[in-house]
Amino acid sequence: MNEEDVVVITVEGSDHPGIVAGITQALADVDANILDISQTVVREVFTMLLFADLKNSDIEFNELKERLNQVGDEQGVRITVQSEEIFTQMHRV
Amino acid sequence: MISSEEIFETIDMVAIENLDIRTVTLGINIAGCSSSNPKKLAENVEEKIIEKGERLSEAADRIESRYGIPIVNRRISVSPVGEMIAPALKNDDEVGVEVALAMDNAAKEIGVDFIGGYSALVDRGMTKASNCLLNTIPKALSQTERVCSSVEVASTRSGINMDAVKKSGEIVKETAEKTSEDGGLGCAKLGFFANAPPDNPFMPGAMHGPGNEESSISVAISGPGVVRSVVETTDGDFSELSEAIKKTSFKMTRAGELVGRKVAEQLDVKFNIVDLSLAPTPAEGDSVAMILEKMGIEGCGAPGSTAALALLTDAVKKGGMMATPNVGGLSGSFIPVTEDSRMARAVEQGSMNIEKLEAMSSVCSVGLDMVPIPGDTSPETISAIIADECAIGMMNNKTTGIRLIPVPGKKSGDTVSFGGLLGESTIMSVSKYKSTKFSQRGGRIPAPIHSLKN
Repeated sequence: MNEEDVVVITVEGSDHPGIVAGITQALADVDANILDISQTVVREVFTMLLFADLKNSDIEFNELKERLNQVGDEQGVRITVQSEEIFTQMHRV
Repeated sequence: MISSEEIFETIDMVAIENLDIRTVTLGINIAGCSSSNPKKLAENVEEKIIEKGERLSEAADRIESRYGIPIVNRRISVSPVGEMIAPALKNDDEVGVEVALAMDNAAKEIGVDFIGGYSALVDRGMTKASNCLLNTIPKALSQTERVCSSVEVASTRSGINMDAVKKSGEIVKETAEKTSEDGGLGCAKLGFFANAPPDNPFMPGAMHGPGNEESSISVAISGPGVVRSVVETTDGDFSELSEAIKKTSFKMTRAGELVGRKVAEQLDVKFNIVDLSLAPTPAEGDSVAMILEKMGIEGCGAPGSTAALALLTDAVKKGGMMATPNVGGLSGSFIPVTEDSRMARAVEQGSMNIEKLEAMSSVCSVGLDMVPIPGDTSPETISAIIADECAIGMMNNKTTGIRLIPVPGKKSGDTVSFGGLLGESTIMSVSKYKSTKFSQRGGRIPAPIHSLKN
């Protein structure tokens, strides 16, 4: 797996049905493969962390970001999308 | 795989604690643009900057989006203009101003807020060309918007060129007067240095100095807010505090290194250095003075401030050195007055004065930075302040810089506001005792004994 192909997606917002469905559908639409997914709800605040591999996807990074931000607007949640590389760079010696 | 704590730590560093890449600076060598025809020379400079720099913003935008670390500024530094105008010089020449206007146009064309390198290296002596450049600084800075100028007047190897220092006081005064409508704003784009680094990405001292590649990318990280947060949450003794700052500095530097490397790849130029400086902004909490206060000092400038700053600067460097093989530039902590709202407050409340600032500059990476002083301060007094600061740099084998602003029409205790990142502050007092004879003596203060290392 190429580190440059993996993106980290975080989602935060008020909990309601359909958030995971909206995001995973958007990822499936662009052939992104989900590697890991975890979510919690604490006091009605929904938090999700998702790792996706874009190896087999043709999508440009910024376009993926736009699509996910659109899902974020529809669902009323805040989404960040970043290359995994920044986290491994910062937190691994 | 990376843990959720680590991911949210990075996100909080950016979202809450103002971690950012302060600048991505593209250095360009313009020596080859020289010509005996002043117009042609200026045209060549403008063309070269546009050709090399037109993709800088786009590349920075792409990397910023991909890694989620904001890049606040995109800038250009060129090789010192004072070195390349010689062939075009006639008598009483203003070729420098033509070049400054060309630099300004190019900066506007490619969308960068500042362009540095209107510079001369005169630590040992002045050539005809560098002398001409120095003479045109006030005019160049008052007629352009984005051009920054710096002059190396001293070094550990050469000593302090007191003829140049004398001239510097006059240049500062004239620049302030020529930009008096904006509070002497021209002086905010003008720095004097001892041991000027050839790879500094920060304005006004940024230049693509001798010994560099044709073109290269340098980045400056900045995160006073991140370090302040670490200091706030560490209750331990100074050893523990130093360790905590080192770890944070490591992470910030790694982010800078990755961003710099990737922008350089996009532009197909060499990656030069990461500058590890903590550079404050007027934003609440994004303050170096506040870090020192959080270590247990009631008001920045109170006893203990120099020791606190020494620990901070050293820990930032140690963490950063571990994070990248490419450390350079100024790398340390900045203690500007107007640009750091807590420092400005320290001046207002009287805990900080210019003498204490000078003392603190012996243990950090710059010197007297963005210091507003009374408009009627004499050029000789300004020269003497520059000489003092240069002496600290020369004797301690480190960079020191001086950016003084004699605010026209204002006196000690008045306030001045430059807006935006340049901030605002109370005007500081300077000694009422004169140094006129000292500043007029001229010649060179010889290099110290420890310059003889061979």
